[in-house]
Amino acid sequence: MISSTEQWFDPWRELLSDQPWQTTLEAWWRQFSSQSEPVPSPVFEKIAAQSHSFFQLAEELAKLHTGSAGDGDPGGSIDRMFEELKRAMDAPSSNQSRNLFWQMPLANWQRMVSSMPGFFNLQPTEGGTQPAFNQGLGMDGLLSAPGLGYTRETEADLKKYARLSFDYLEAQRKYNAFFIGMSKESLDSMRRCLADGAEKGEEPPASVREFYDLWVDCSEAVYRARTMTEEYARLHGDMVNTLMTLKQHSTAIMDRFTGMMNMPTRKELDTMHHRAHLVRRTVRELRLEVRELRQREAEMSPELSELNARLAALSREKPKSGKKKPGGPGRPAATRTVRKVSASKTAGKKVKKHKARMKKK
Amino acid sequence: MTRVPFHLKPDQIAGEMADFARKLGTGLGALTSLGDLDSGVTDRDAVYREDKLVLYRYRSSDQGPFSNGAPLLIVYALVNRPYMTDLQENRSMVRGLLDAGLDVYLIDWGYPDRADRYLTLDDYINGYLDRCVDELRKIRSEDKINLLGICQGGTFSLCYTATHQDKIKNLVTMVTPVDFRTPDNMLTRSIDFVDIDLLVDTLGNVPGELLNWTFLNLKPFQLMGQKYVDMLDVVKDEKSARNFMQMEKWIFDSPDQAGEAFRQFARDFFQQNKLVEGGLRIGDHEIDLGKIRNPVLNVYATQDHLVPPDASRVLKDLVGSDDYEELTFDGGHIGIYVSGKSQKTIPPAIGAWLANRF
Repeated sequence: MISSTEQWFDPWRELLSDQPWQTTLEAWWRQFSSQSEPVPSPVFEKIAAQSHSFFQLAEELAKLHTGSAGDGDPGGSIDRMFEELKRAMDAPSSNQSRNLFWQMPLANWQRMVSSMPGFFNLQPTEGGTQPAFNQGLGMDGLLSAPGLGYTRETEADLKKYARLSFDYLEAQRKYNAFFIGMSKESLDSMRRCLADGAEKGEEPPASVREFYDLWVDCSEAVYRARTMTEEYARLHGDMVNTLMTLKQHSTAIMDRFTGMMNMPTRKELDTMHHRAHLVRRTVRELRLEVRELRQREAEMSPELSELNARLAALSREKPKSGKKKPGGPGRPAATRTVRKVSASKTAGKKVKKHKARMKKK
Repeated sequence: MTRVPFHLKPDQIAGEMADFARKLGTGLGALTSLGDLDSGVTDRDAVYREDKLVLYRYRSSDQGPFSNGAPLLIVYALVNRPYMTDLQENRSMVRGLLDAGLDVYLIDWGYPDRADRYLTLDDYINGYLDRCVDELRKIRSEDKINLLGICQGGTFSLCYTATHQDKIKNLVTMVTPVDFRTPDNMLTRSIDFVDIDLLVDTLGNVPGELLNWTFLNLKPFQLMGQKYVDMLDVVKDEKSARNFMQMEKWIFDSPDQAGEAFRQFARDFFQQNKLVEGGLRIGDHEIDLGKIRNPVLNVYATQDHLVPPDASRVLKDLVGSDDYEELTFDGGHIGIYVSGKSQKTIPPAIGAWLANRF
């Protein structure tokens, strides 16, 4: 026999089936986005994503009163909801639609990587890495085989690219698995928190919003504890490092192609930038040196002027001093001049006397 | 196992969702009516330019003479943009400092591009920063100026003051990391095993997007999720929408980082903690914080998730100054610039501290 309470719930159950809010939200969102050009769309996307998560949580909670979980004992079925959500998290990472907001950090990583130039979005697929790179298929050995023929270098480049992609996807898979582990822990933490509160006589969340806020707090606490571990630091390091190795190799491949097209390569541009930087630095140092030298010159200017004046004065005084002290001690040059002069004068007199004698003759 | 209580009824959930949808409509409606968002509100003049750097002088409503001594140079981080210090009329640290009688200057580092990839910390600290300090000394005919370093800019200011004592009168550091390896530092932990050389050699400049991702990942559920749900509770009209969007704009306005400078900062500061452990060199200068003899005011936030308080507080034991003071703000890394509480307390306190060391 159906109770009156059950009868009262029936319309609500119908309303809450098949995710009507999310569907409505998405339709409304499409309409809204087409009219909201002036506002930066990333903000709207974030608001949309969070609204979606919030609606999804509401629907998960509403389901406690409907369908299989709706057994008239929502307090008991909330445990089942947590268990169901945990099971849903074991779904492939590409299909984590019930993982509410724990997809966020991973989705942001994908978005960030996609925004880097020269990347296409590589994501692990069901069963871990890309099937094409699955070690079980022997692809690893195949990719290690040496290249042959005229295109052997290009072939080797592409094989290396495939191997490095495999490394990155594997690192990403481990990172994702760690996150899924954390998201399950956050559900346990949330359950513990609700149960502990009940034991202490605290009121349970009185709204979806309170439920959501509690979930955020529990998730942050779990996230903080787990990301401070060495395990996480290594996983994070591996993911970034394998991505960078892949990116570096893809840049080298691009460089090879741009070089073949007689275009400047990344490596060449880097060399030019580096040289330009060194030249600019040297120019700055030289400018500084010139400025300091000029400054020193300016500081010495009065002293130099005084010395020049004294030199000029000394130059003017020279002839007088030569007459006063002919052949004096310490002035041998002047003495020699005087002697030369006197010798030539003597010689001149002798010539004149000789000429006079000759005239008389 | 204790039974988990759950009292929410479906009609209550439906009502709450309807209310949420209504707020969503109102909030998004307000956000679409904003038009352009300005960056910075206080009038200012560019007094020096070099490459992409601009040194600004802020105009005071009271056009001097400045009652509070030597000019104050704000050195902001390379990460994010300095207009955070002058975000809006009622959220402007710059305005608060002007009101405290200070002649305020600020370095805008600009947006580095690929041509700036080889800029080093030496170029930034002993080059750009030093030339800005010289320019300011020349403009104001002062031998020494006051320095206010914010976040990474505070770390730069410490390195600079330790090696250019003759040019700095007083040093203020704000939410400044000194010890990069405190046990609660998530940022450091996250890059412990990242090969920084490989990263820089591969990317050249480090993209702002990567930094954004790193910072948001310190509190992903609050910063990437809850914030946007909370937003719907506060955004009701154009004014509140503008407040929200100004912050959003700033958070995601992350310049790329010059590769070589990033390499040294990540390796020497984050990974090897040389500012505390010793052995740090910037260009030809060995950095020893013990050589800082100037008065130091260290401002930090007690709930800072980016620069934990212990990462800043350690400065007390490292500087050689006898005149060291701390100013505590009960809030977070961002709130210290923009919250109403900080507007009332932080700039006046800095002004008063400097006035006592005129």
